[in-house]
Amino acid sequence: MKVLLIIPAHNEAKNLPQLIGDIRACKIQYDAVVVDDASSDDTAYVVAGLHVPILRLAANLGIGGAVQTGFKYAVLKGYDIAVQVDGDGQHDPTWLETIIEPVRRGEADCVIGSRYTGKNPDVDYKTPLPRRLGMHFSVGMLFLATGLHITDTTSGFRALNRPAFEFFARSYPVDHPEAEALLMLHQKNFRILEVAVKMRGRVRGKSLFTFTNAMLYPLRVIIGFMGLILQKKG
Amino acid sequence: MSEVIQLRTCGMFLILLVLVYTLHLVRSNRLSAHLAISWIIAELVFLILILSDNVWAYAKSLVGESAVLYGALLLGTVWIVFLMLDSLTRISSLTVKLKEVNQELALALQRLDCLEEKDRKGLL
Repeated sequence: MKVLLIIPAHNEAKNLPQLIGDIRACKIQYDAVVVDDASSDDTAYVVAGLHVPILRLAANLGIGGAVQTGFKYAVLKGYDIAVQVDGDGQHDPTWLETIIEPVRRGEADCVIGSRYTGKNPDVDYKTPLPRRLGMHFSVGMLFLATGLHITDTTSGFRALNRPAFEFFARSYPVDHPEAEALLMLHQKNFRILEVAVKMRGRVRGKSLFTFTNAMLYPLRVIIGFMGLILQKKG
Repeated sequence: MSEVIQLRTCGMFLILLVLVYTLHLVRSNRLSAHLAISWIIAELVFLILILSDNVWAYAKSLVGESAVLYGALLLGTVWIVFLMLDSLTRISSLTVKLKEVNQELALALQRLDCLEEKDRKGLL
């Protein structure tokens, strides 16, 4: 099965060489594509030097638009599995097989690499308080809307099979899309599974999930969920 | 001068100001005429309603002076909210289109990069 790693990146010139190096050091060799979300630093130049295909967005679309571009690329190039790996290096490529394997075996359509799953929580990963509060909120909202108990709704470390990423290539939420994307998958009867992974802290650069964003996150989740629930089924 | 006439004069100047500003935005290419048309029509209708003594007198004879003022205010507010929703719909639609164009451009550029790479290697 052909696997593509989609790496959305916005001003990640300092983190990408390490991440690409870690991916290349994996036992299994994966294809990767970097989606440069209109970075103002040397991201495009650095990626060119690493000989990784790059999708250069002319205007900043945010994480949702960037990841969706990667899904479109995966559809065009005929991949069977697409894996989102954040460009900040928090997603450790040594866990790639852990999240890909259930998709490969057909056990799930979407597998989330979770830091908090009950069986094996990542006790080393320190989540900032505003982010943790926002995540608990989205966990609760998702449970109320679907009955699904996902422990790590904000994790972007996800593997999807072709029907799931084909669906997302057509329609994918914007801004902080992770929780909304899960609701969309559930509405279309895709199977979602969580597996325990460990994540690394961001080494260089600034997270886009600022204090203000964290404060607004619950509101975004409510609006996003309302929009999806009110949408006509089609 | 009665309170009503003062309010009409004030309203007329405000709407004229908005109308002139809308036309200025269109003339300076900052606002598309296509998008501005519903706003210009609304501003003209408000202006005609304010200036027309016949309409004003007829409305007053029907519901009374104070009810006409409140009614005009309510209708005006609803109309403006409707126009704002219409504008937001257009903005949303354009945002989606812009996102798709942006994504398609990125995919096309990548294909171009591939072709150029093949061309350099003499594979084309």
